[in-house]
Amino acid sequence: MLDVSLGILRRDLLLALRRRSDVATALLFFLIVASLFPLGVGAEPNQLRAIAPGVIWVAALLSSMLSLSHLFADDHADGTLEQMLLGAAPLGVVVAAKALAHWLVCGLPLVLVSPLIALQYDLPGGLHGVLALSLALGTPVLSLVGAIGAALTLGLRGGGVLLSLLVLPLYVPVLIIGAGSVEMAAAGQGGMGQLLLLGALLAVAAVFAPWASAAALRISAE
Amino acid sequence: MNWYLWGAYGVTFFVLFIEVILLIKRTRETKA
Amino acid sequence: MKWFWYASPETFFPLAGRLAYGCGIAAALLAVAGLYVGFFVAPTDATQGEVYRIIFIHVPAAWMSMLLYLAMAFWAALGLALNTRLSGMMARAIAPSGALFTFIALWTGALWGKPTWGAYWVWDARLTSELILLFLYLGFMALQASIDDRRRSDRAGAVLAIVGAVNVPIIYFSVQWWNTLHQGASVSFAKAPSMAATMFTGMILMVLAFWMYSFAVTFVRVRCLIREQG
Repeated sequence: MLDVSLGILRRDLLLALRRRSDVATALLFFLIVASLFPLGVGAEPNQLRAIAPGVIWVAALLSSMLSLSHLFADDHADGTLEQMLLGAAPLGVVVAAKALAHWLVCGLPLVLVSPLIALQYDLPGGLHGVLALSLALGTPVLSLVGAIGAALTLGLRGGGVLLSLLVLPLYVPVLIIGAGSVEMAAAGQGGMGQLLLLGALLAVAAVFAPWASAAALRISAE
Repeated sequence: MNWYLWGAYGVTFFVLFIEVILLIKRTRETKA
Repeated sequence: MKWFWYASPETFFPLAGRLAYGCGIAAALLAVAGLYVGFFVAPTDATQGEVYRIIFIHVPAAWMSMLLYLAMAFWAALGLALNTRLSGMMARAIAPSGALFTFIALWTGALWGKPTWGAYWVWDARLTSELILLFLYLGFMALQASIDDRRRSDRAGAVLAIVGAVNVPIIYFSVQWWNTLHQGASVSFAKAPSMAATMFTGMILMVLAFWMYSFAVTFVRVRCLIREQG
């Protein structure tokens, strides 16, 4: 089981590396969206500092969501998905590996770049760590839960927009707790509780989401 | 006088009424 | 034993018709009773005056919106597990009514909020959770509408409904926490008038009325689905 997951992980990462534009696109989108808000609400430093955690988190949400549609679509197109469905490896493990690959390509870069955006919003240096940590714990949840939506909408006309409609309500708790952790830290109350909660969400998602995605994949691909 | 009260009740029952009308329309169409 | 006989769409069809008729009558009677109690028996509230009477449709609608979602998820899960067509039809039939009651809860909540809290929309924990619930309903309906193959549509919807149902408590609690964090000037929903017995009676009657109404509408819709899907 471990070599199957590693194999899938390696394959997805290789494919992503060859199509470097996918990685860059998600990251670029994140940066652009984060830059749009000050243009919309004005550059007043206090205001930006106040909305920074929320804005950065929403940008991460949207960026993660946009890159979900091709999580299974490419494999579906070239027939690899059918092989996975028929294969001996548990589909849940396959999905978990793909979600991990997705996170490494589309989520982790956001975490690494977040201090940069925090600087743009003049977020105090002490909060950069909490922000990055909250994103590090939250974005994998987004990938895992998003995989369910991607599996459900595989090959449908509605496509990306339908995927967004399905997945965004499920993202809400992650957003609230993630942004909340930074805001709590900003208010001087640590934010540890929220981070632990995010960790718990990640643990639960890691166990249940691949299973639900696998069920959805079988439904969609049969 | 109390527009909020009547607005709330009015829209509620109007919307439920529409649901019933649309459903009746649908039953007529599926009978065919 | 009798239940399984009705599990077939063909045999359920006439039963659904009779049930719809009966529930419809019950709904009308209960609504009349509930509104009578709500407007002529329940006293005027000391702080909110007459406008508090919105509670007699706001709270029942909110309760129905949540109940119907659970019912929808239940039937969807049953259909997924037992591979029964009728269960999938029940879930599909419940969804529009659930979405409608969610809208009614939001609308009446807004009109109650303006005179009492000063704003049509407040990011109160319950209103916000209701809004997300509406998105969950609409997502379910959109997903089912976009899949032509009936079987895939039923089963995909079922997975979504179950995932949604599991998430509803998580969403609710996270929104509630978020609301307390950003309390600001918003008034807590607990400021609803303390229940006089008559108010409570009126509310219960309206809940039952909405419930019977939902049954009736769902049964009629299932009959349409049985005819449409063959």
